[in-house]
Amino acid sequence: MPKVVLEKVSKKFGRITALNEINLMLEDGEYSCILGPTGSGKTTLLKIIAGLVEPDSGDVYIDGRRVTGTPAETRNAVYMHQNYALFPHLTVSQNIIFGLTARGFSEEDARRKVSEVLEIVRLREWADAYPRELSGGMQQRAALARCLATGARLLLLDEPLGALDARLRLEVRRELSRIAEELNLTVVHVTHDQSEALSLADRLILMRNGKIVQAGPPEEVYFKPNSIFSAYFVGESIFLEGIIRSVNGRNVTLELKNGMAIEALSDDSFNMGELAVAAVRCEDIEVGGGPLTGSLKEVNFLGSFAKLVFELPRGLKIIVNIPLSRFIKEEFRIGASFQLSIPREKVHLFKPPSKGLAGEIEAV
Amino acid sequence: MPSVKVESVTKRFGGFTALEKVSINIEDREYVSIIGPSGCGKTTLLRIIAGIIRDYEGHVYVDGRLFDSEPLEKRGIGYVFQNIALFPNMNVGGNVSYSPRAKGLDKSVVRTTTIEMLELMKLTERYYDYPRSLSGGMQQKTALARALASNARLLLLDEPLSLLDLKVRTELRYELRRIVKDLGLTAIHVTHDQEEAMAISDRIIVMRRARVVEDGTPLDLYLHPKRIFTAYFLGESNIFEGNVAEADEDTVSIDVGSLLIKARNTGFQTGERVVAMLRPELVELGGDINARVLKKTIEGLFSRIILDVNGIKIIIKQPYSIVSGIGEGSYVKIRLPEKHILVYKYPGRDLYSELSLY
Amino acid sequence: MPAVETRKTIGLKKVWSRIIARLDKLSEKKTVVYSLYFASIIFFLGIILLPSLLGILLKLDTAMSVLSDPELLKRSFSAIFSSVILASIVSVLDVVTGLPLAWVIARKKYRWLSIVDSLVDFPLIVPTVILGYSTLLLWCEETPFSIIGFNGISPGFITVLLLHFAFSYPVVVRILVGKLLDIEATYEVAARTLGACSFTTARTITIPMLKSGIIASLILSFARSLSETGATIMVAGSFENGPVFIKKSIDAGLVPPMVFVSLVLIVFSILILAGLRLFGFKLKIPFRKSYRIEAALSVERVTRLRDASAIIIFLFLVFLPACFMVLSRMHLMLSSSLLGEIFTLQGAWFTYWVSVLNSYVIGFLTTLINIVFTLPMATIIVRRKLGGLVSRTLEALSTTSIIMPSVALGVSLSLFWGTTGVSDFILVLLAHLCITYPYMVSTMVSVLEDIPVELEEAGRTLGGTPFKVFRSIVLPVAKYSFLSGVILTFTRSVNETGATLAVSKTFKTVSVLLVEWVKAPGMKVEAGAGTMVLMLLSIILLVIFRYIYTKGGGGVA
Repeated sequence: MPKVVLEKVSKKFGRITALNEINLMLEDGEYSCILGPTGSGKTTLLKIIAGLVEPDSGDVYIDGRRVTGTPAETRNAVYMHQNYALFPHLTVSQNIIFGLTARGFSEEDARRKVSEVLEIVRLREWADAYPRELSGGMQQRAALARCLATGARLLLLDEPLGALDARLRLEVRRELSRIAEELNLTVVHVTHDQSEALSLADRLILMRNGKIVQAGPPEEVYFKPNSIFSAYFVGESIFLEGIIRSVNGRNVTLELKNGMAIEALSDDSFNMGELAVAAVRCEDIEVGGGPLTGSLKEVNFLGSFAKLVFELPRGLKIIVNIPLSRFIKEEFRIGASFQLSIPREKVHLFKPPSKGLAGEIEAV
Repeated sequence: MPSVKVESVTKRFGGFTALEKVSINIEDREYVSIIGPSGCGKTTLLRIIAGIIRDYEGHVYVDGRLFDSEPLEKRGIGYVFQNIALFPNMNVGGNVSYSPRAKGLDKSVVRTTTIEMLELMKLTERYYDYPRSLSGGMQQKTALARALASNARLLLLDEPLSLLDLKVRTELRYELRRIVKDLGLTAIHVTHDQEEAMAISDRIIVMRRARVVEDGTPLDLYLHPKRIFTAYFLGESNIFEGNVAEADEDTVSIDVGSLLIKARNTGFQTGERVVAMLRPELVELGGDINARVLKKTIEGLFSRIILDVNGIKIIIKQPYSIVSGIGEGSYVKIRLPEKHILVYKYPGRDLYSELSLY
Repeated sequence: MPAVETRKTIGLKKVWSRIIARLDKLSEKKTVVYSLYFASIIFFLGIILLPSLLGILLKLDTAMSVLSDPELLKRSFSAIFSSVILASIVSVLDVVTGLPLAWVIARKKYRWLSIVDSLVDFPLIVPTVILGYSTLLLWCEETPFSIIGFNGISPGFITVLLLHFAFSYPVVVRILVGKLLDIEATYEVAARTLGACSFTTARTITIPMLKSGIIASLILSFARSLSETGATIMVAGSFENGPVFIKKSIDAGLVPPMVFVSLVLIVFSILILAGLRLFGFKLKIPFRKSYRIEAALSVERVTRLRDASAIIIFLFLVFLPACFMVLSRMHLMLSSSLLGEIFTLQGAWFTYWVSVLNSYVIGFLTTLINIVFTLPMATIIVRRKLGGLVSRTLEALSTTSIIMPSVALGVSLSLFWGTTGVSDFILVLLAHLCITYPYMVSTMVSVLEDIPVELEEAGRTLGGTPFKVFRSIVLPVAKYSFLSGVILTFTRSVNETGATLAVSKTFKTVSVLLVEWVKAPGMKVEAGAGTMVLMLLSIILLVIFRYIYTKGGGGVA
């Protein structure tokens, strides 16, 4: 049963620290998504599990067996590269057979297995085609079939949907989820797309600068972000800086930079006069009624929802996402004034980051 | 003031037809996206407008002037590439000042233009950095500054954001639109990302198999697509096949198997084979249809729930707060609102090939 | 009968697959893999690098005696000076005239240009001595241009220049075409949309990005000019450059001048290489503005003129010399009495066929041994198996010897191994190994660099051992470039004259023999027929290679 454990794994490339003392445990049959921006160390982590990169320190266990230092081919874990790495000189079925003969299958068993996995990924008619003759989506499925055929129960996927068209990406996403579920695979899936990670994962692992920021079920990461970065990178939030003006049991009041105040719930960690950052999900802000007044500056329609940008006094910007059903019912005229409210139970309070807020939430 | 007119353009590469009699019109100061599955001809169209591809049938006019034999460097367009294509042998300043230098402008003009563009993109501090030391998002911003420094009024964007991280991509697209609007430019933006197209453009042109499928504002295409393919390609949709069971002047009832769907009648007769479409976001909770929850996932900003109604799968999308109490395996009541259901004639060949991306 | 045979082949197959399986297993052991790396480094240091330097350094004291003989010193320096000047002119001319042609081929606007593309490769298959002979016939002895009043020139500096220009030209064009194709077209398009005309684009974008290719071309043509011996002797007349001088010293049995000139040439070439590498890459072409003349030069009429002159230069100065000998000596092949002599091994022809056999045996062994030892070496270099520093050092060392003049290398080797009393055959083999080694290494390095590392990674995580991944993925994917490396090494060995002349007086390869025949009075017919036969053999061999090349289909996109 493939259970993956990483203990204090660190890796440096020259002077750059790719991974910094990573501890991680992935259960058997679990679908984990490692989410993070470019350079967060997520691919290195995956390659260390695969055995393609050796950690500088720390240990990797698969199935309770310590595999640190053992060659990749003995780990019974298959790694799927972002560009699929299909062997260009072999047909689809020959590509699949490669992994089978490498693992000592007889020719007959290999043939049977090939048709079996091609059935799973729905590529039966393309068995004798060369990779270059397949479309991007089909190549992706062929690569997946090649991994599945080896019988390895641990699948390591490096941005498996990254090279596909946006539309196709959605379809293949659902397909991937179906296959993983049917075959009860343990999957580790690396991506920088938060909605992909949210919809696929049993467990979401958010990484940044070689460290794990937050790990847990997607709902937990989404609804209870443990840090500003977490609230920023998963989903969409606005961030408001301010100073704590009153503490009344769990109720606190935060005075924003523009002089306005919002209410929030907090644990005991905040005191009067302290600086704090409030994070609020853009869909949690209510439009129509409420203590704040803003004028509508911009409307962006995005299909499932619309993004409204409100400007409040002294240049404070609040972005609100409202569902399509509401967007088409009411009129949102640019320049008009709206009442806004931020429900106190939807506000997440954080200590101000040492390097300033911009350092945490600017992607470009 | 650049308006663009493409008149009946056809382009073949050997036996492959990339464009088949494509005609489009783009107004001055309009931000237009061209979207479609890969291989639909959208990039070829953009390259023809840019003058990178020269041998084609048909005509391209910019500002009413015939552009077919205008050389690349004289077209006055800014082209932004998917692979960014910053000159690796020059620093940020060198890249941005390339165009004014290449045009032989005065030293002082070169300087002011360069600084102005770098300030606009908030890149002034990066003047001496080489492209390889910048992040992907910064690189694309530099490329945009470089294109704008050529004083181009027409911006052609060839999947400019597709190689960037998702988070960077979403932030940069709003910046892109802001700059185009602030400077009063005309922009043609090719992408395969429907959300990006909707977020950024005044108008979207949908293409497939070398032809234009339809065009319209994002909201129009999303709510009232004229073609079922548009509904399928742009966002997610529930698509039902069935026969008209009953039709009067105002409404039709469509038998889709184990469910009768009511919709407004837009000219259908009893017995006709049709396709009905309803956006998952517009399925309402509460109603008289009993549905079992098969699967519930969170997808960024909303919950996506797959329901089973007598063997028919219906997808709904709702804000988290509304469906937080609904778990997999439980039952919910839903309503399929009549006014949001669109009915289409059953396509000539079959639905599958009508919806196929390629 | 057939049944027995099949059984035999089945038996063989079994043994073969058992060996493969054993190797697969072995390759999993780190000790095995590392001892292979170790062996390849020992081979490089012990067989290639040290002997080619030590031989000369050990005789340093004798070389110094030249300093006390002003007459000899003057001749030595004049020879060295001629070599360096010649090589400089040749390399610059090759790049200046080769670049436009490479441009025409790489940015092919018309389909018929693919003919020019394949014509460029033709001179590559002509053995150098044949090119030398052909040059002699074309420009000096039987010039066809006499009908327009050009009566030929006498052998000397100009003929050597023409020869060296012609035989480096195809290689330079190939390198530049390859580099031009590597540069993504979007850079040029970007510059054009930003308002730069095509000439400005070339000056400010393409050529700076092409710099590494231009430097590589300069180095290679410089090195080849410095090394070429056999064909140079044919067309040199009284002109004397380094290799010719060394060859004369060898013939006269004068050790000090030959060591002296070899040493200076080696030092000089290494300095030039280091200089080009260090300063060449730092050199920048400034770009302040575009000039009006650039727009004028971008006009289609001008670019057409440039393209046409590039093609004409190639046809007259490279292609024609390459095939003139065949045209002018075709009639010899039609005379039956001569054919009889050739194939019944009469008189001189017996020696001829022995030398052909020598050449091919040496060529075959050289290629084989080099493959075995350069592959692990290339792996160390590309995949940084022993750390970045070791990789970089080995890469620099192994490619440095490309520039060493082969005749000087031969002198050093014969001095090093000569005292051990090894046979001439072994000496020639060692010399050929040294000369072809850098070419083989750099081909293998580029082969490995071109293979996406993810293919190997995929193979490994799918359960393939290192050897299985190597033989069933790396090799098949890299088949084409691998084979071209093999062909390059083989032909280089067959064409080699300088080092062969230097290490042995008795063991003759066909190239060496033909040089003798051309120089010998009264051997005109034999020289002509001999070169013709060699030409035919080369073509046959090339066809066989081509066949292996394309066999197996599949192909890699």
